Amino acid sequence: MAREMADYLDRVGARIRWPRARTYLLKELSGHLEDQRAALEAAGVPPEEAERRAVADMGDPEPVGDELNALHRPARSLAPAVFALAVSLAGAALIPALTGGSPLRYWAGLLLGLAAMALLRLVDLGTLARRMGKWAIPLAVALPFLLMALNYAAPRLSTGAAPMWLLYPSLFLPLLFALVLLALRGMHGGCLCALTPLMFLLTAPAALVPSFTTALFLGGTMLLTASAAVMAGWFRGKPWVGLVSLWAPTALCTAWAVQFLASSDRMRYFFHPELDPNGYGWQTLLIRNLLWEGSAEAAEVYNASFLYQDPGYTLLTLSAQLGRPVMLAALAGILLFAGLCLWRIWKLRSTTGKLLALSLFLPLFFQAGACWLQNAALFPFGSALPLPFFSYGPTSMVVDFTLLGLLLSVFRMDPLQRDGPSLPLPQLFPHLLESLLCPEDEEEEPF
Amino acid sequence: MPKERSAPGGLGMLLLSLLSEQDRYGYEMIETLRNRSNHVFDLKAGTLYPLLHTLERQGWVMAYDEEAPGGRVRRYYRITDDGRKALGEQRTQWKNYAAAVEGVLEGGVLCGA
Repeated sequence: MAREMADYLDRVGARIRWPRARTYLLKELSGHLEDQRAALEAAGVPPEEAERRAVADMGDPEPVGDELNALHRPARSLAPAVFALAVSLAGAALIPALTGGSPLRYWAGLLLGLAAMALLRLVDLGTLARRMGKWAIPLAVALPFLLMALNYAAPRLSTGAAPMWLLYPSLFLPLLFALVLLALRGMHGGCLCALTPLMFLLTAPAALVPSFTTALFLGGTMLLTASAAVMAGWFRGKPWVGLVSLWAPTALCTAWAVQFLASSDRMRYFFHPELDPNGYGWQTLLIRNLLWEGSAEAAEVYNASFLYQDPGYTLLTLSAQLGRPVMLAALAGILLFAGLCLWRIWKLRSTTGKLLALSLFLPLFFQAGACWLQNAALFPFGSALPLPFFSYGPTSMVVDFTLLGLLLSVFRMDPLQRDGPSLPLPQLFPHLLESLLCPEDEEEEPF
Repeated sequence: MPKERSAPGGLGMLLLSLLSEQDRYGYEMIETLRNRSNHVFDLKAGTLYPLLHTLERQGWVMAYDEEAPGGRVRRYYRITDDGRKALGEQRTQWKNYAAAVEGVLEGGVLCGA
């Protein structure tokens, strides 16, 4: 770029305080200067004169910079963070005191989590998505295999299961799936059935731990995020075609998997706990007596049982100590957090931001929901992950605050986040296959 | 800069009108405005972009990047449904305002006559 234009942009940029906004805005002004100069040169104006006139036509740089600076400040959406911190502090006060656990471990996890959240809030996921482009697709295929290889190589617990820490990277796989969706913008909605194998692959590491619950809610996250993309017009064609293409194969495959679970002992004892008086059935009856009946005797038995120190049953432990309103308060808290986040996601300007935010929010929400349902004995399968931000689990605390930090970064970058152009379809879908699977629409493309 | 929500016939209305025809980029809007108004509206880019970004904040336009001829990525603007609604209201306000001005200039009925 010529010197006079560069000087002009430097003077405008000096008035814009937010560095990311400065880059974004100067890129737009630079493009305008280039268009202006090219038009003048095409009209026969010599290059140096064209540059001088292009710069002169922009207006004084300082007032321009001041106006743009006033319009572009990072969005402050800290309500979810304040809520999560309040919940964590409540957990720090209650859990070590009531369960006899180590407060130092809890506080260490909380401080590390807060540091991770503060750092990751400054990330620009939109730019990362743009730069990654179609490379998100091979990465989304390779990473689950890497996690499954780690699962295979990791030493087993006494129960024969893989260590729980292998679940935590899985919580970020929906984000990777969102990056794939961003790379596939403009694809015909009828081709979304091709995402079903990818969704199952991305849930496989969690399923192999094994944690069916985590796999279920990760799959649900991806399905809902993809559905949101369809409804936002991210793909070509009628939305109902995209939704059917997405849900039909997923529902069929899930139904096939669920039929095996439906006939399992776990399901039988969930509905008829009296059939298993020494194992899972006993546990289910104990929880229901404690919570649903408010039995003091059940509370005493619970306090003496192995469940008392299990991070997955923190809510139940507190209910046994403080009473049943703990469960209602927890439910209200989960719904409040969900309401805060969903309201903010709804207000995001770009579809890119919405898809990224959903892929980060939904794992937290489903994790909380699964934990609550398990504690209330309303869900047949256990949740391997504790209640986000609250439960006694330093690693889960760090991971959950990391997810929250990334979510806050999407909110923060909202003033600058734009939906990129439709990229040419990758060669992974040969033209012939697409034409067979995805007939041309008669309607005009939505964008 | 006047607030676009309260100024009938403002530059914001003109930009929305251009975008209601088709998506456009910044330089294209300045040139179109200049040519159609016979150089009456000779907008500088330093005025255009803050105005466009204000309209974007109000939800009346949205920006997206698209590849331009030559391989460069260019930022285009598109009017939203809310923007079309606002444009309709501002057009009505402008017509009423212009008719009122015209009525005064052409000499209306005298008071008491």
